[in-house]
Amino acid sequence: MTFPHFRDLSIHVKLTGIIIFSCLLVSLLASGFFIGREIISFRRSVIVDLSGLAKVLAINCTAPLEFMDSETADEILSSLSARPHILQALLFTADGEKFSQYRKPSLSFEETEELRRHLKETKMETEGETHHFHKNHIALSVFVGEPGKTIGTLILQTDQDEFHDILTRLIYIIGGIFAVTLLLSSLLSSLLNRVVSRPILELAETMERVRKEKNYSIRATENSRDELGVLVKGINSTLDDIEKRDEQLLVAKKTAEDANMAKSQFLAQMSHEIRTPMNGILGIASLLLNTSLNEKQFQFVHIIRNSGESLLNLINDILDFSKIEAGKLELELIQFDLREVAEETVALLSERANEKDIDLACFIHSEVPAHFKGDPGRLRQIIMNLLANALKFTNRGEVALHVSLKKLEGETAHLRFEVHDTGIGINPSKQKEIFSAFSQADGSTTRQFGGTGLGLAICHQLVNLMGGQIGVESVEGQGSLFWFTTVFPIASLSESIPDRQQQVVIPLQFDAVILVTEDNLTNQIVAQGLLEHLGCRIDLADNGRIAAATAMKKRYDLIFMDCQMPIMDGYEATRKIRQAEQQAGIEPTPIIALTAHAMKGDRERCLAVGMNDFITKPFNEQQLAGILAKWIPDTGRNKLAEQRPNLATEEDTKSRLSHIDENILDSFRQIQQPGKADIRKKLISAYLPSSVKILLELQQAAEKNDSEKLWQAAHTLKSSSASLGAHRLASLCHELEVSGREKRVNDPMKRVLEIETELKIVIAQFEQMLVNS
Amino acid sequence: MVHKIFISFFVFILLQASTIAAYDELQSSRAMEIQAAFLIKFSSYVKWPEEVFSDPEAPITIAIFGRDPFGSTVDNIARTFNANGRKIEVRRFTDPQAVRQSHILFIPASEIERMDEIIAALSGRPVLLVGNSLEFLNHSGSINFVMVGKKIRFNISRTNYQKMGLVISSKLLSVAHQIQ
Repeated sequence: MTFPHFRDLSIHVKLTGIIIFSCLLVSLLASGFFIGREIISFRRSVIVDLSGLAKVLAINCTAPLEFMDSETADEILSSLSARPHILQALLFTADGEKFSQYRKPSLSFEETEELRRHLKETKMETEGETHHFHKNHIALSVFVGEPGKTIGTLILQTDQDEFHDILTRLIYIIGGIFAVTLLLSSLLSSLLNRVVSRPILELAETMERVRKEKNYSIRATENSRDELGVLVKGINSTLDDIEKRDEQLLVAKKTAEDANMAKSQFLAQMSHEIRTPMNGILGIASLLLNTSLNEKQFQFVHIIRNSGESLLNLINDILDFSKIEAGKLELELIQFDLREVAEETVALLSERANEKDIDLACFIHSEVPAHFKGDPGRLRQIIMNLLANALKFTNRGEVALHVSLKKLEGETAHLRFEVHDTGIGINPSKQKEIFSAFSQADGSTTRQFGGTGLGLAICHQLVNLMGGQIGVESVEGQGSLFWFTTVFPIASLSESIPDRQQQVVIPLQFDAVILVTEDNLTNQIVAQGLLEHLGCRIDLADNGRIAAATAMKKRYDLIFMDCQMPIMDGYEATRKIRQAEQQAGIEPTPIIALTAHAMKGDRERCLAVGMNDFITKPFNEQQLAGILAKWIPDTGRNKLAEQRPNLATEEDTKSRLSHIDENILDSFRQIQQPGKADIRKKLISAYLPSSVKILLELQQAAEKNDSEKLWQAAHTLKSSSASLGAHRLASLCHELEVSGREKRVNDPMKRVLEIETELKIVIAQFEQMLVNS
Repeated sequence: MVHKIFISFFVFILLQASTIAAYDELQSSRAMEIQAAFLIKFSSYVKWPEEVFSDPEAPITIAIFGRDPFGSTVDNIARTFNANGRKIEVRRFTDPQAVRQSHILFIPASEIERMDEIIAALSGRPVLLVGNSLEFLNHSGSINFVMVGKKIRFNISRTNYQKMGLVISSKLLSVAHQIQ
């Protein structure tokens, strides 16, 4: 059993212990002193008494001794029978001979023997008086006679019964004193407890309550004006201060949170506000690109669209960063193919690498598993950022992405991504800073190379979110190695992996009736233009109320619904439509939210009111086509050159196709041999003169109205254009070829002119590509 | 009756004989030594009137009348003895007129015939008369040695020593064999 250390005991116990202990100690000391004194004085009095008796007897025995009258001496000594404590008296002559003796009659043999033994130790006094204390008796020896004329010795032996009686009585008295002391000290300590320890205990309890409940409005009660009172007052005033400070802090916190909320809302609002006009710019620009433009106009519109996209990227960066800062960024957890992500990203940048004549390569170690669960979009963003940076700061040499497996822990893979470049490198002193926001190696870098300076900061945060680390190794002037690690769970093979092929094949034409609800006129035009381009018939509604009313009157295949509108917003309108559908018992129409908000909560809110999906502004034709294919697949028509009775629609079809499908060009990269000249350049270089030659043939054939030559030339141009991704041009040629074979070419000059216009655009774009790379 | 008288007589005769025999033993030299010591010790228990001493330190005179039965024993004992601060002086007289100078006067059994003459000579002087004769106390003696068994004891005649103007300590009286 272990006792707690004294200093750990409660004050109450301590005080009580101290008081009782000191009281007992004092009473013990006092009693000890008292008993000692009592014993000494008792013994002294016994001796005095005995000595007095002995002297009287000695005097009385003088004459008998002198005149050898032992009878008289016996008589005198026998008078001691009146003193029950006297056990034995012995009278000796000066010669030491026993002259007379008295012995208490009731003495036992043992007692007698003991007395006899002790007698030998007793001095035969011849001048004065001595006494000896033995265990059970006292012996007193006194001389008989006058000073200088000793005639004998008298020895008295008395018992200690009286002493023992007194001792017993004293022990009882002390026991009583102890009991009384204990009682009194307990009373005293309980009294002190009330005065001293209880306020302390109360104070301790109060503080404990404050600590546990974190309630700083609790106060200790002030009972006295002593030091404890001062303590209580001090604690209370400290609590006052804390409470006051808490209130101030709460106010400050509230203010700060409000400000932060306002900032977030401002950001969201700004993002919305910027995205809306961006939608206009990008949408109209892409619509414009689908119209017949001359070369110059085409270039300008192209620049508008590219600049718009750059601007959008910047806005997305800033938005990403603010989301990360606010802790609102959440990672997805979906299956993805790492090789696909890496290769796609590299492919996206290959054009830029070509422009700068830098080798861009991607190496994925064979040990790296294929499928993971994670956020491929964000992973792509990180790789993209690092590769883009590497490209940005590299003027010659190469940029390479290496992916390796660091460690395999059960179903979790630790991956290491490295981006090597042979660029300008980074000064060691700046290497630490570059992952902080708004920090490129130095301010001049931003001016020289552009960028928000947020890219690496976003990468840093994203890598952290993915449970990894990011770092850089660099020698100035020799290049840099940016690396980061991630931890991904490996996706089991049984889980279905979305078939990329399915996603890629999007019908280009939809025979659908669509309601577009949008209050912004520009956006209306963009949406209408893009959707009509995809073959849809469009009705427009300016706000939610109109949309709801229209949707109740007419059945649509799909409804696009802006979220924020005057009079009635998209959420309310959706609720109304869903309600009406339920009452009428008809199939719900897919409703797709058009939102400028890129915040996560928006999606949930849209789905909560009954919308099916959402698309973020600004959107492009591809995205719209994806949505349509997803929600109204039945209306899709995937035949590129399907015959159309309506010429106007044919026109639309032609203009709808983009000039060059870069994906096709990028696919050549896969058969690119490292170290050899860029295969795409070769192809384009071969295509450019040959296509011009074919165009001349077409023009000649058209003038002569030579159907045979016309379709043959068209067929040749169709094949080479299609293989380089100039689908629209290929489509035009295909039409001409088909009609030429059937000899029913309608206005061949016009057809060739169309092909010429498209070819010029394609050539311009290819030339641009060659120049850039 | 005759028988009873006979027995009484016989007892008397026996007693007389034993008494006589005891007195003979009392005169033996060993007995005389003890009597000499007792004689000197008596001086401590007797109080004389102040006027018998010329000064507070004047010695007590113990006198032996007639034929001395003690010899030098008395002188030996007396030499070291001190009775309440006074020394002891031992003298021997044959002339009854001289006994007036003594404080304790021992009259041996041989001189008992001259008791009347001595008393007359003292004529009221406070002198303790000590003897060892059968009829000593009947002849105005104060202390008389007797044999009690094998022990030497003494009888005291209170009438006689008071007549002499002496005071004897009760202590001495307490150890006396008989007090008359």
